[in-house]
Amino acid sequence: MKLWKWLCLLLFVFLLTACGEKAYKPREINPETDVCHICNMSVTSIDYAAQVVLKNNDIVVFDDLGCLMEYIKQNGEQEIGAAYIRDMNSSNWLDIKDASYVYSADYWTPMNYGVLAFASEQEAKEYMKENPGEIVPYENLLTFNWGVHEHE
Amino acid sequence: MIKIIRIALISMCCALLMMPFQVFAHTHHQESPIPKAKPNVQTGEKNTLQKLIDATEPGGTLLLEGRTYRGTVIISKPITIKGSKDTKIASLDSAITISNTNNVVIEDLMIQAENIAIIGEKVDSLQLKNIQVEQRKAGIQLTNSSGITLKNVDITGEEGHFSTKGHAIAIYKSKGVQAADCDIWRVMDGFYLEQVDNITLKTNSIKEGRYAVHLMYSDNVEVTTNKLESNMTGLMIMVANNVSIYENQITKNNTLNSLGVYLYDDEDVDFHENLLSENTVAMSIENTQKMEVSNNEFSTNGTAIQAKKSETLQLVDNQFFGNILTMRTDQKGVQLHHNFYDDYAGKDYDGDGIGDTKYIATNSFGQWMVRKPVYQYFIETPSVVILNLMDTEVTDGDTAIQIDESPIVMKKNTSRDISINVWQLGCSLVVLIAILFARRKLR
Repeated sequence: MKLWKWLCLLLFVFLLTACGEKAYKPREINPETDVCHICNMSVTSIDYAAQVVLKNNDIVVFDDLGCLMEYIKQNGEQEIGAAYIRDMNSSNWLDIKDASYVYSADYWTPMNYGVLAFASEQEAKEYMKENPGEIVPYENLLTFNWGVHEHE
Repeated sequence: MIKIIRIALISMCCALLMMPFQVFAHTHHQESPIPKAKPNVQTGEKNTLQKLIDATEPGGTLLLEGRTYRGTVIISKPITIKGSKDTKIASLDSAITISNTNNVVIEDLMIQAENIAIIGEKVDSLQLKNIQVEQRKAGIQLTNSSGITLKNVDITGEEGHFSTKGHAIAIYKSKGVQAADCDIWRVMDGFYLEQVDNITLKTNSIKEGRYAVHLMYSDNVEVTTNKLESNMTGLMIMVANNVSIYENQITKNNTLNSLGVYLYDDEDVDFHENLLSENTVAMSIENTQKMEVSNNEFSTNGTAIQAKKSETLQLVDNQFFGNILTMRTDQKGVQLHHNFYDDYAGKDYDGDGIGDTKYIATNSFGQWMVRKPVYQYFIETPSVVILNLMDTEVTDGDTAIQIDESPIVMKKNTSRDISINVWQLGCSLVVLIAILFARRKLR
């Protein structure tokens, strides 16, 4: 009888684990080997890097937020488990849906898209005091005119 | 047994005789001589370089002695600074900062700086000639400037992976850049030019970096007679208009993720008479319009050409030989005309130099490799060979297949310069005579 209790408990734990949401964790960027999936540039400026963790746990890396958004535009969000961008202040990974964004044509990024990510809107505003720009909500990034792909 | 020894001796003799004849496809890049005349020093030797600069009238010339000047200098007026043999500037920070001025000429200097060697901001007409930089953080960085001339600028980085280094020559938001005879080695990017209009890069040699030449958002570009060897990628040109690339040697770019030439989102590109050899992928072209690739030599590359979203790309009069895969494209394809392919198996019965049957440049497997580059590890496996054979037989109605209707059957003659190394020839003859003498004695 005691054995049955233990087996039931074990089964319960397994069930709980199975029901839990799958974690899609970002990985560290390797500047020696990682190459942007969209523009093919090597990801040497790791403070601007982004990545997508697919539902099959494959990871796709990007050198710039704009390249990540281009990936979403091309492939949709169905297969994406999570997407991350570097925080400009701490260099920690931020979920792209939780980050606050600022844009200026004068901000340098590897592909010159000029959009930077911050952990909070407060931090973004602090940054803009010294580096004028404009707040861009995440929803607007999907339809944002990234601009650099247009020939004059 | 004696016969074998005799054959071995004859083979050795032949090999020794061949050694002095070294064949080069191209030779170029002659360094300008360093001026021999001893310059006049206008002010006291013990003064710092900054004091010497301050004491020079605007538009004047400052001639420096052949010694080491230490510290950082700032230039904010028109001036010519001319070093002599062994003139060196050493700094724990940046060596030279030039800002808000015009007509600055700096020549015949060695620079050793822990930070960026030369920084320029808002300079109109800047000439850097015969400059040698031992790069620590970065070499030369110029912003918002115009009329920039770089002549015989040699920049050498430290050992280590490129991702830990800075660019040799980085120019941002500027107009009119001419660089010639620069020798760059072991840096991140040899030339990094961003938002620069009117660029000419000529007769430069760039080795062992990330990208030899990296252009972004730049228009009116001419890249000619450069030697780009053993970098991750030779030419990386992104979002550029009106680009002319000709007579360059782009070779041995064959490390991880390597490409000989990468063109991304460009327009109006003329790429002709270049040599692309021993690259993992000789040319990768993506989202590029109005581009013609003509009279180039693609030899011994992994893949000669891969193209995506570049349906207006035209390949004319090129030579493809010794490549594992000639071409892979997406569904949009490219236009092929009058190229030579070493794997073309057709005949030319009418003798007009053009094959009587069409050449099929792509195959199903090549298409798959575009989508999944990892498939390249299966090239030439038996199943892939059979698949390729099937492809050549069943092509009707498939619009994705790249076809050259008029392939050339004879390879063009390649001009080769043959030079003789007299010292090696002499040594070889001595060794040859010694072997023959020894052979006679041993009989």
